[in-house]
Amino acid sequence: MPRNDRNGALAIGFHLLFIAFILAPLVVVVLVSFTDKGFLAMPFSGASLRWWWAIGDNPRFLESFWFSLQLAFVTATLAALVAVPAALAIVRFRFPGREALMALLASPLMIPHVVLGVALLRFFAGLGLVGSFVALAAAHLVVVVPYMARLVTASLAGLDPRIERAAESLGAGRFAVFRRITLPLILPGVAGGWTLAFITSFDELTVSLFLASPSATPLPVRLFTYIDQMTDPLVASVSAALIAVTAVVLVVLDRFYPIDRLLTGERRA
Amino acid sequence: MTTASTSDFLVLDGVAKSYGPVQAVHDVSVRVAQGEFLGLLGPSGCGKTTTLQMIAGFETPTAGRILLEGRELAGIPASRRNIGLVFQSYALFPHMTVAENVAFGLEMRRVPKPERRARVARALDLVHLTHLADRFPRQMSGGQQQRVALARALVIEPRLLLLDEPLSNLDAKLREEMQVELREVQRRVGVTTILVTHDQQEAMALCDRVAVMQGGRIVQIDAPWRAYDAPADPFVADFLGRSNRLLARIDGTTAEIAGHRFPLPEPLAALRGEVALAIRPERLRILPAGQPGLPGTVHSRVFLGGFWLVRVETPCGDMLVTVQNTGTPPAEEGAAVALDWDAHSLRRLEAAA
Repeated sequence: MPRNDRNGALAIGFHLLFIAFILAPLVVVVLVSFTDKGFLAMPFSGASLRWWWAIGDNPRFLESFWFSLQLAFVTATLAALVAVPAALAIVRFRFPGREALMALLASPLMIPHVVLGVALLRFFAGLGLVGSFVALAAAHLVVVVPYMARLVTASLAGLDPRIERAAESLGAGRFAVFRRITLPLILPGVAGGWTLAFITSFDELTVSLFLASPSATPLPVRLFTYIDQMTDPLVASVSAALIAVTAVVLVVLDRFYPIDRLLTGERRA
Repeated sequence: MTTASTSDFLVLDGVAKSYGPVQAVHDVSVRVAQGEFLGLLGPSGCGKTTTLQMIAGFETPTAGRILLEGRELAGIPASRRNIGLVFQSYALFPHMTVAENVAFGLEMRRVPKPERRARVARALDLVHLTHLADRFPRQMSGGQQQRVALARALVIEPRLLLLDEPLSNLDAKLREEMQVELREVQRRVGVTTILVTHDQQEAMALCDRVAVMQGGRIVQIDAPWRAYDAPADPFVADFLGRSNRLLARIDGTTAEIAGHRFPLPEPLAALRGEVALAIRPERLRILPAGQPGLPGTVHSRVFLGGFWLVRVETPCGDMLVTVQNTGTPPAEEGAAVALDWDAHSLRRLEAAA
């Protein structure tokens, strides 16, 4: 009997609307970036690349872009260094405080970012670190660790502990087992977590707003404060450039590793 | 260094393991000779796998000692014990090819590359997998994967080979083939082997001796045929194949079973009173009704190729009888029959409950 796995007209309509809902703002932003006017307008009555060239005339945006890139890289890497050992302990061992550790790792997800921002501001003010790269990286670490821990824990839980035992019986010490067996097998989860952490950090605004300073301004903060003062199509061209960069990164990444699998931390089939 | 005699190659001396209040293994003591194939047989939860894990070094005994070649294993990590392990789930390294899987143990031992390659080739040849050396585990069948696991465990020339339900994931026909192959390889290599299984047929086919475990203890340890023929208690009788139970009143040299008199073998004749006796299905004979014997009715008969399995209702319960397939089917369902046996086939069940 043929199975009816075609989408009905209603379902297709729904999906199209949904995709339009997600894509429309992006399309508008990209279109606006090509306007030749001095205000936010569609490029239909005159298009130019003037706002794209304007990015080059505003070194602060480029500065912030590099700053955010470094921040995201450091944050994601630190998150991996924290989350992998934590996940190993949680999945492989039973110890008092295990549940508490799990809750602690997930807790930033449950705290509003505004609250986190205020708390971290107080904390780093006490240390005299507000407005530094260190403070921003530490704050972002708090925000992204739950994602990382989640993905690494999931991929570890899917790993048969007997595989590690077999390696041990073959003469591999604890560290050799980790390096040769465990790490390669959870690498998709770690890479997925790293990517997610990178994107989250790169995108983070709320917490950053509390901790940024003129010498340490991540891109989202730079854009936000810029819009606060004036609204010209430069915002649109910077955003469009960001979209382009992200798209290229994702396409390249997808070549090496399918993104849908990366983000669920699944192992290669 | 003292070298233990070959009959004490592996010694478990009063080994016990408890997890909090739960006692998984009680006071297990076994001596395994060099080159012996020993089976730890029992239902799930009987402590056989925990015992194996303690020998491998993944669990620490809460009491007792384990000695391999006269030296105590306590405190030696699993990675230093030089014990080969094969799991039911194969536990191959999925990100490595067959050859890399097999080479792993040699790599950990820092065996130089040319020698490593030669030994891997020999190990793969032993399990007939040379042609699949460059495959990944996921590209292979269960039987092939299990042979890789075996080669991987044997290539390090372990002092001891531990097999944890190695064939349970395979289908029946492949399992039988692998049993033959496993036995052959073990004989050829001569490695002392311990097999954990819940499959009595597998244990009997492979092992020199089986240790039947129940509730964390070894109930009986014997050659398979001896344990089958002379089970120590009702549990072993039941676990090692099918068994029929007969309640008899014994006086003098005869037993009265459901009102009929039967002769008794020498050692049983000394007993008095109500005694539980056991008899294996293949020791029973089906005779036409009216012949001397225990009367009954055929309840069902099942054809199993080499033999028939017949269930006969009798005054002392249902009796299972296996009848060799000689080309003529046994008595039909509903037919009245009589059951007969040789007196020496009767066994007494100790501690009959």
